[in-house]
Amino acid sequence: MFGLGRSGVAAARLLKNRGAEVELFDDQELSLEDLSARGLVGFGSPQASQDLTGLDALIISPGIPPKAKARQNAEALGIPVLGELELALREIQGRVTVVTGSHGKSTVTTWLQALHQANGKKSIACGNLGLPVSEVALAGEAWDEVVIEASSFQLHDSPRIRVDAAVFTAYAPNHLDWHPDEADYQKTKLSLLDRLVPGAPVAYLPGFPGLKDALQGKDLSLYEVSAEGPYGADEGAPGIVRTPQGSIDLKELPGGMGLAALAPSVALAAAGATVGPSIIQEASKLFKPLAHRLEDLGEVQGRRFVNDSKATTPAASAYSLERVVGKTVLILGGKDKGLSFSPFRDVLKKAHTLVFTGAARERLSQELGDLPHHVEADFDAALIRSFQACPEGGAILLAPGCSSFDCFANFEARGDHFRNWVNTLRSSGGPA
Amino acid sequence: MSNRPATHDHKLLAAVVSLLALGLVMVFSASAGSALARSSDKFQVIRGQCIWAVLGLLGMAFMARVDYRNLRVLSKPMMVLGFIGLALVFVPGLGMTRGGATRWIRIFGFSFQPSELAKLALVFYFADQLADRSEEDRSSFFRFVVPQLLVIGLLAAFLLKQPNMSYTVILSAVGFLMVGLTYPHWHHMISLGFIGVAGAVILIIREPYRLRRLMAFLDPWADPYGSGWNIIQSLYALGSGGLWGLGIGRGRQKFEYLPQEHSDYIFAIVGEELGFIGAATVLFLFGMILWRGLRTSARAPDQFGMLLAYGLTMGLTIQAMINVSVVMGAIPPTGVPLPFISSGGSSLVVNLAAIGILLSISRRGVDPVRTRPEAKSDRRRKTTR
Repeated sequence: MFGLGRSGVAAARLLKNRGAEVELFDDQELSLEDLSARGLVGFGSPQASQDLTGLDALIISPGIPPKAKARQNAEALGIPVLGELELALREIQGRVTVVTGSHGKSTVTTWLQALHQANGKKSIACGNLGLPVSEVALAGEAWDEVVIEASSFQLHDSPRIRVDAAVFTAYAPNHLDWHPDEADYQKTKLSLLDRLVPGAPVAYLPGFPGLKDALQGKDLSLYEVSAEGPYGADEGAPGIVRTPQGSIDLKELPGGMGLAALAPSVALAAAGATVGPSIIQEASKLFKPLAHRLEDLGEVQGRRFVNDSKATTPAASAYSLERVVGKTVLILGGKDKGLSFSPFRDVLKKAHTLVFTGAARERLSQELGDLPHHVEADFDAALIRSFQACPEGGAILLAPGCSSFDCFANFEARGDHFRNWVNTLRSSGGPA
Repeated sequence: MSNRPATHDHKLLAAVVSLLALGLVMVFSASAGSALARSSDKFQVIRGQCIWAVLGLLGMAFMARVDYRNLRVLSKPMMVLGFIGLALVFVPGLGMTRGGATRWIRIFGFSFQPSELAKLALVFYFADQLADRSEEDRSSFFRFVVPQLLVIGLLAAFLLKQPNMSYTVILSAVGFLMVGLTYPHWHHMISLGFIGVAGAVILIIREPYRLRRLMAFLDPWADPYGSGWNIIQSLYALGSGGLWGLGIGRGRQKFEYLPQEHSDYIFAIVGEELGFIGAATVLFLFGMILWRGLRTSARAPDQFGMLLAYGLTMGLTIQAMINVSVVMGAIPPTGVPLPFISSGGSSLVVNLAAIGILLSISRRGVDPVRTRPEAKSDRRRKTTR
């Protein structure tokens, strides 16, 4: 097992549970206490060297780069490499739907799970979302519906899977520090089409590069979600989702306007699941908006705080900025994924002020330096600066547009840090 | 990064449908004469066969859409049902005897062979028992092989009482192959194989009629109007066919010369009416089924699917091989129908269901995970820090 993050730990435990002899590998040096803290008890210490001779298979965590030495060693030795997703799918019971795309995956995944639940099916959402698929497989329960959010990493490493349905959300270039180029990123996402059972339903948004062409000639049931299609999210009437069983106005549901913004994803999820307005209504009650995704943290001293730590691409930052009302201070930065912010300049200039932080701050200064901005290397300093720069009645938006791995374990940790800071502000009555 | 996009296994489907179509034509051709003689209704046999064919195809379509993994929980109940079915043939009123063998159950005017169901149940049961076992368990003769031997033994006891040696052989062979696929110590399997053959020989010698058949097989002309009749007439049929056959409907052996002409010996009629080309085509189509079935087994994403596909495929293939060998006089006669072609509802429905399950497994097929041979070596656990 290579890579001992949350998915790797789950996969190692799954392997052991199924009777495999498991050896652990990781780039970091980990002591037995570290392993224990992660839940790996009874495995022995991780291997000191990366000699893979004699292994029957190498299981790889999502995110291990394609050029990693471990992969090359395995290939040279003729040892098959399986992604954690592929491993888990061999052991999981239930109808599997995979959701992929650049944005909105987590939202659609969660929605789809809520729809299935409202429809009376025993369902679970997992994958890139947070809960590793291996953990679900390990628990051994039989599900009716398993909805999996899959990143391009997971798809790349899991060629030998066969799933029952696919959903493609919106597209934007991403992860260019991992994929050799954008074409490879697209190709990886589209490869999901070859991993479906015959006649499987595929729901998609038009505008995904290459998707229409790739769908030609395949034995699949297609559901295109667009203003013109039978499953529509009307551009002219935001919040209205059309299904063959009738239309429903999301604004009228609990959650109101927030839900209305999600109309395309609702339509997308509904398309694959073939449900109607009454089920969607039920689902909206079950749907819990996800933390770190345009999460409203309330007001402190007349300023609104919004946690969108999940925005790990420039496109997501731009999307979020458009949805926050009022004079907004936008915090950008983090680990540089090689993605450019320039294409979104027109949206980003609507911000009252920008605050650049993290490893990417230099690139940000280069690309957007002509706009009103501050630069702070330290994340906490950036938070304080954003508070100072924000006028009363305005908003502070953490939508960094970069991944969090320069300073944090993951985007959730970054969002939690932000939230804690806001709570401290609230109780102390002002920045420290 | 590739995986072939899944489509339904058209090649398998085409082979089966072709055999079925050919079978219906041949059954009609073969049965019309004798049906007319017996009941002045030449459609009597073919009508029934067509109904069974439709039912079987519906069953196949249904099984193809079912996720085979959901069927695993039914394995034990199926095995129990199989045994119950085999026991029921001996219940007076329910069981039916034909030609000296008590192999059928008759309910509401329908007769079916529980041995067919037992064949299916055995494959499911073994697939369930043999799959996903720990490496320790798998290498233990007593934990892994013996329980399976006991089941085969029990089945054999029921079957031999009918008596039905041919099905005993088929079920034993399929069970043996399935265990052999997963059990690492092949020398044990070879020994078992010898014991099995010895057992079969003993069984033959002990029953006078089986011995007679064996003698007749060795020299049919020694008793041409008695025990050698079937073999001789079958050889005549095959021989008269030539390259292209006498033409559909034009065969002569079916007219009261060759018994069981539309069931066990139908391959002889195929040879007579469709010639060498026809017979070779039938063999080719069975070869297709063997190929696609083994391919499905190799591409199954889990052990249960792999074993299930393997067992179902070998069951069909062995049965076909035995039937054809009997018709060609290569082995002594034994009452085994030719799958998809011989008349007989239970055989057709069960075999089509088996194909449906194969299709279901192939829907989820993935490229197999292959470890290159040079990668195999003993891995010593390195002493850790």
